[in-house]
Amino acid sequence: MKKFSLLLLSLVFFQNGFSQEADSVTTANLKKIYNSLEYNTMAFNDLKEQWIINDPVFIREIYNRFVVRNAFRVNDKKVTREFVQQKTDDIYNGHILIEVRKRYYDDEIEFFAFIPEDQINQPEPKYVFDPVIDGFYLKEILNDKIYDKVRTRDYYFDNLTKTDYDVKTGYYFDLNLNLLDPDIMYWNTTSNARNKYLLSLFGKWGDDRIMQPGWYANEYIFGSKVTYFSNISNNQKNYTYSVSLGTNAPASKPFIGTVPAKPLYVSGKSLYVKISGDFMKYIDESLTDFDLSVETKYTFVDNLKTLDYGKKPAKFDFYSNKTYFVLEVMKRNLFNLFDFGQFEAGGGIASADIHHLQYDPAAVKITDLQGSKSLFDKFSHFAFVDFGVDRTGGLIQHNLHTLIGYNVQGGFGYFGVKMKVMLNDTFGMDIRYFNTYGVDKKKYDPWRYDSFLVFSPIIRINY
Amino acid sequence: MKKVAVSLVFILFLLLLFGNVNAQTNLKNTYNKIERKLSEDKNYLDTYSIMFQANAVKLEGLQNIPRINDRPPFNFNPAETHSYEVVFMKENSEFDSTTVLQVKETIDKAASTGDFFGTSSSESSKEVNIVLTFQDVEELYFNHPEVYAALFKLSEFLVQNNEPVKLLGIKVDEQVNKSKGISSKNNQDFLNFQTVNSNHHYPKVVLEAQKKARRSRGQVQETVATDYKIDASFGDVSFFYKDLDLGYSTISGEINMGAKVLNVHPWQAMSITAGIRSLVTISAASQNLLEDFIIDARLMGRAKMNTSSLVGSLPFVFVTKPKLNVGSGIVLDLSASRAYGLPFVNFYLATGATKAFTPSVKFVDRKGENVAYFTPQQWESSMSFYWNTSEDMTLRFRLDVGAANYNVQKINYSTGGSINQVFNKIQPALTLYLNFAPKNNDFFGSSFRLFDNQLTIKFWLKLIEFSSLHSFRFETSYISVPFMRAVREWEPEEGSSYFSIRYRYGF
Repeated sequence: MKKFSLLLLSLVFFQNGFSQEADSVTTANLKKIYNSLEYNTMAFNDLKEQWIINDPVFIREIYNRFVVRNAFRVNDKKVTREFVQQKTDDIYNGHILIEVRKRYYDDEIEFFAFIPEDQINQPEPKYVFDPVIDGFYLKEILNDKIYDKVRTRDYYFDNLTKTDYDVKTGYYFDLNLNLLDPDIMYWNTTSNARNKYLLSLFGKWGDDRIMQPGWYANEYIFGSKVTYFSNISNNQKNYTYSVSLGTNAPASKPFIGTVPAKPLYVSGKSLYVKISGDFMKYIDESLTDFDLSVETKYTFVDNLKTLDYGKKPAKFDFYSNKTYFVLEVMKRNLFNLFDFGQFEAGGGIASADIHHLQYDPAAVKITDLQGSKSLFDKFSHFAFVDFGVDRTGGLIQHNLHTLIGYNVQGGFGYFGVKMKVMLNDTFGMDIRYFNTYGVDKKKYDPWRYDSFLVFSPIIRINY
Repeated sequence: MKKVAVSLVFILFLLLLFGNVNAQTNLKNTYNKIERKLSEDKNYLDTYSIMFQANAVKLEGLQNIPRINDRPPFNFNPAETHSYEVVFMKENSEFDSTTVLQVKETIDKAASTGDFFGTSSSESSKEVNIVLTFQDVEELYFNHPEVYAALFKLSEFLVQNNEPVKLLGIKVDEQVNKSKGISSKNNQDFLNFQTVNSNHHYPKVVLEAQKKARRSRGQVQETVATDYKIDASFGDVSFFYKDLDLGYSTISGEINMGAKVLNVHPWQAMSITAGIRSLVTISAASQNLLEDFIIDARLMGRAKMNTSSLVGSLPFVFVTKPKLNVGSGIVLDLSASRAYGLPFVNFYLATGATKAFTPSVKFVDRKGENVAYFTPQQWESSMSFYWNTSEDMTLRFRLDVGAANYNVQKINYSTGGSINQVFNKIQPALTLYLNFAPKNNDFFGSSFRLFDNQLTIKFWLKLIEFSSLHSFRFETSYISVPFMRAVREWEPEEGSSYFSIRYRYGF
């Protein structure tokens, strides 16, 4: 009997062993075929429509179809009744939801899995059962009606579909229409098929660092700019250097509040020059992502004649800025601030002159009311720090900065926030608000406002 | 002890047996899934098929092919009425060579029975059967490798001699998605825009997408050539005759009642402009509109015309009595396609005498003085940028970015008719155009222009088209009052509007 049992067992064991090994090879081969039948759209996985079914009644309806069809599998094996019962308790308690993903080019479902609530958005979620990766098999389990209901999303669900691509930079043309600092890139060329020279028209309304933000500057600077990229990049801030040359024109304020008694006017034709770039890496290779910029405006033609200001009925005093100079350094990509953006910080110094002039319709020339002062004495000096976060790419881009400065001769400090937010790098808003602190009323320029709010919509078309 | 041992042996036996049954079930399920997918998924199967007739190929080793489920062995039928189709998967990341999936048999019953009425066989008279299912083929692969090898060899031979049919239902090449649409690198966008919006004739360029569609349907491009081309609306008319096509240039005539730079409607400008327009292509050996340098030039003369009282009577102009006279002079209007990679550029100049002018409209201003305002000179220079939301070019955009200027002279009759320039300012000008042209047919257009703190909005919509020659459009425009500045003395105090019907013949 014993011998017979051993013989029987051995026979069954070996037969089973060989049979199971053969079957597992066959199954593995079949699974490979099964997984290869569809046109592979793996590259679009993150862009496919995907959602979480969180309708408790509908989840039970679906779950029950799986129970009835005995379709639950874990590692390709049927599960025990106890295991299903345990998971059913989780269903009762609403701890299990369903993750669904559609195919990219049509409307069928390509991924369907019961997922524990705490596994949603995990990098490698642990599903309750093996996911169903074939809509036609899912249709067999659920039946056509329920399958269509799943597809049409006629129930409570959380949409997880990524709505857009990352923003990429094109070098064909780039129209950045922002009233405060527009930039119209209209021509490009390359000298070695890797680099780019971009030619653009630029504008600049005011300067935050000498506390003449946007609309309050009474002057618009415009000109031409060359930007060089040693390697083309998807981040427009990764340029190697940029040179801007421009001139000025009078500008009026779009929204006029209470105008100071002694306004700020343009009193000549100016040359504007700005050179900026990532130059410090040439001193030491570790000093990358430092944006160094030198910027100046110099009035080379003074409007000395009364007629240069048009015909005004009465005498009045006004101020004018003829020259300014700004030196700034900004370190980019310091660290990632909680995925909110790359933290960047910098600072600099600036100097600007102010001339106190008088218009008299009876006189031929404009009078300099501070003629006794030397040119150097007409300058006041600023020191400032600027820090914030910058985020490029993705659906929403933003640049949020805080600027804090102090004017030594003027006896005042100023601080403000600058917020630039773009949607899909196409539509956005640029808002800046500045206020003063520690003002010495005796020294404070009468043409200055106490607080400044400027904003501009942004439209960017880039191809 | 002996009982326990026997029980254990029995349990082990059952477990092993159950395990085997379980593996078999698993295998069967997988087969079912694949069979179901092959039969139901019409879109995503990345598979191919190739047809053959048994009498046209050597079928070595392919006799009495065993099949599962007690079905009799299969033999290819060499009759003319029977054709076969091998369905297979090409090599991919999982398999290094072709994988045969199924063999289908098609029987042409009409041919076999002889159609009484002599009509040709149709799809309905064909019977398609899967003679070797996926599971049959897999059984051959694992249990009759020599038969599978013969089948594989046959399919390889067929593929070498014929192009297999792709069974993928989705059109992946036509559904290529781009994140931000496209912008043409040649004159395509420029020509598309002008064809739809210009009141002069432009050769219509067939889009690449349309070319493909026509090729696939075996269609030939339809061209309707007419001797005349006319575009007429309530505010302008243009005319072209075929003899004025000189090959390198076409010449047409135009009369209009508007003034381009100014924020005024036709008839409100109190002037009439007439002249010729020439479309010049500067080609190499042969003309290629898509690549050639193109200049669209208008040279016209402008004369004052007192329409101030008429404007109040015209039912399609809704403006208050105009106050700004437009001076007589010449008009030059140029648009050029891209040269040396630069954007499309536009230049407009209208200029005339700055002193010698007798105004049509004088009025008493706020100070009680009798005055007249007139503008002798306007210019505008801009760059045009084009883009489309997709390769079909259904939604087309154009943005003109530039600067414009006009000057205004004031004649004060209360002080003896002295003339002084009261306005001369260069200002930014921005115009966004949007066209909706499904399948390259003009259907809807709009533009939004911001200049001199005024917004001008224009819309047009195609109403009807017949014989591919005659079409009618409804057009409307609105000019806002100035915003963020005070209204000047020569400007209307409120917004104004205008509508028109445009007739196009031969476009």
